[in-house]
Amino acid sequence: MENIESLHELLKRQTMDLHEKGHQVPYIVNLLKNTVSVESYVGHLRAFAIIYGTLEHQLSTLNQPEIKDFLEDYTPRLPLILTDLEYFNAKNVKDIIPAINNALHVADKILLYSVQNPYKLLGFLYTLDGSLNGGSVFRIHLSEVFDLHNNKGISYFSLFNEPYKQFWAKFTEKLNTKIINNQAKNDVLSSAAEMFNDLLSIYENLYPIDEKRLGNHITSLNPEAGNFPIPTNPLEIEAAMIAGLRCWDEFSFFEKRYGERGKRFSASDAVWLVTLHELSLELANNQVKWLAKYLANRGMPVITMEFQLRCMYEELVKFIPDNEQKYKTLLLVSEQLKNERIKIISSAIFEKSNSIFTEFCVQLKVSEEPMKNTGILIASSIADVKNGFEPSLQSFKTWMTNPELFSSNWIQAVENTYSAIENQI
Amino acid sequence: MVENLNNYDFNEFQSYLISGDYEKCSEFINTLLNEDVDIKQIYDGLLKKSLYNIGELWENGKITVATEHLASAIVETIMNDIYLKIIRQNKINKTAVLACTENEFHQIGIKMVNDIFEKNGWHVHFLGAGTTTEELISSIGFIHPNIVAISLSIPFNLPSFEKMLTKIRAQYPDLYIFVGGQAFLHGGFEILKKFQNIIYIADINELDEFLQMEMKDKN
Repeated sequence: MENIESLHELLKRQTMDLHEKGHQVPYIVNLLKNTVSVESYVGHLRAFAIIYGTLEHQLSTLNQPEIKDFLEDYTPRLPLILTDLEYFNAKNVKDIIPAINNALHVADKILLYSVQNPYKLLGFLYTLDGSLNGGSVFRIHLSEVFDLHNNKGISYFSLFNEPYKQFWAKFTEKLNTKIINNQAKNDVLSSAAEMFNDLLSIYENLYPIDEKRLGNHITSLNPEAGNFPIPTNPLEIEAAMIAGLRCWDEFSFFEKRYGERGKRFSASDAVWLVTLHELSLELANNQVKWLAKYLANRGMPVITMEFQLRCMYEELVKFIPDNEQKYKTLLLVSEQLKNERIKIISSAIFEKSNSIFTEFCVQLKVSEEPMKNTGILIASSIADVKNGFEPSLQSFKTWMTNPELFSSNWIQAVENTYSAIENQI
Repeated sequence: MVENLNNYDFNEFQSYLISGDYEKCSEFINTLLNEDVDIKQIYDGLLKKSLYNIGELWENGKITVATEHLASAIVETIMNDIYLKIIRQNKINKTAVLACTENEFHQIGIKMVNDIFEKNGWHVHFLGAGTTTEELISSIGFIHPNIVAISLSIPFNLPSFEKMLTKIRAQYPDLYIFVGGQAFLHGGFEILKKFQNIIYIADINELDEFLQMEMKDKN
């Protein structure tokens, strides 16, 4: 009788040589000899943050139940990696650009496979999570090199615990029993090997480090940000981050609607916005409008961008007063957005809009916690439509009146505020 | 011979792209090539236009970033597939070096430029995306091209682009540099005025005309 190997056995067999190869890569050799540098380890975590960030997001948005079934008991790894990076105060550690590029290449493939052939994502997950089996060994060496305690800085590599083992046992069991189709089996096998080779390329770039290829990459602020320029001056980055946080504080719906992932995108958008001061006013304006439209489509009224640019100018000038003139471009673009906004709805109405909403909330005995500046956001979404940001209103209002998120009284208060403001224009 | 691609063709092709159907896209392009549709029309009127539209659909939240990526990947694969059908085998004694602006990773436009140069018999060194200024300068040093062409897709890379031109100019003050790309739809021409021998090429039709004129002049 023919002895048919299970998919898990095939996967193990096919990656045996690659495992061997992995143990000879200088970065892994260093890690096992306790001579790894903080730059290399942080580079490793950053590359994994990019890959896991994209993979976990794509897996979470897939519609196929047969793929989703594999994620039973899976807990996202990205938060652990981000915690480890935070522990190492990684913002002061330069990025190893070639390793980042390798990881971004993997992220691109994840995006492609998520629409082309989602089974391949299972192969990627197999290799990534399978590497955690050796994570317990890495953890011991890392804790010795960096004098780490209570899993701080190594929470990702400490995942090799009971819940992980349960997940892994179920995952590999499902690989054996649920993937029957030969094409799907081959896809998992080929993508697992592909991911393994990509990991080897990443490791090869982590040591020795080419000093000329160290730099600041946007993915250190947001692993899912992709590829775009950020300022080289750390003070500008810090100012942008503070401006972003001020914006989140001012419009608290951000937190509720977009959560932690949204906060990371807000950070990467903020540091990109800083770079616009290097452009002419016309170009900077075009770029801001492009981003404002993109964000309006995703439910962010344009007043949030206007406010953020003003904060950014203020923070930048606080940090680097000598560059005040250069940063003025950001303020001018913000003022332009403001002028366009108040041409449609007067400042007086904007000033009243929060109290209009609050009054309706009181009248209707709304039970929800108020969200700061809701009235202003409603007014902005109305003005946005006439200023060429058409989707702002629909996208914002749809969320604000979603019965799965808000009580009927809240929804009524929002509807009433829309009507009241529209009647005053 | 099909003179112009109509909206029906365009919409059909775009729907194949959005659904990620490489086979159908490839079949569609091969039919056009068999009907002798000019490659410039295919590149400019179909592939470029489709990708711009798909980009807008993503910006407007109508499709996911994954779908947009897949469409770009299909277009790039199709261009690789048809490459041998469109290039000219007998080369002329002219060389071009092509690259994207530093930190840019959109290389479909510069690949189209590559094919137009090759269609006109040029030797081409395609450095593509992810090229650093130092790598480009070093390539110019050993290739000695007649022309360097640089693509700029994203306006916020204009400062990088300007730095790149400055560094090239410092070493090669007379070298002809062709520039183009989607970013210039938003402006940026003031930067070009700061340098000598920079030629802005609006699209591949203009590039093709320029290269053909150049060839006629030599004959």
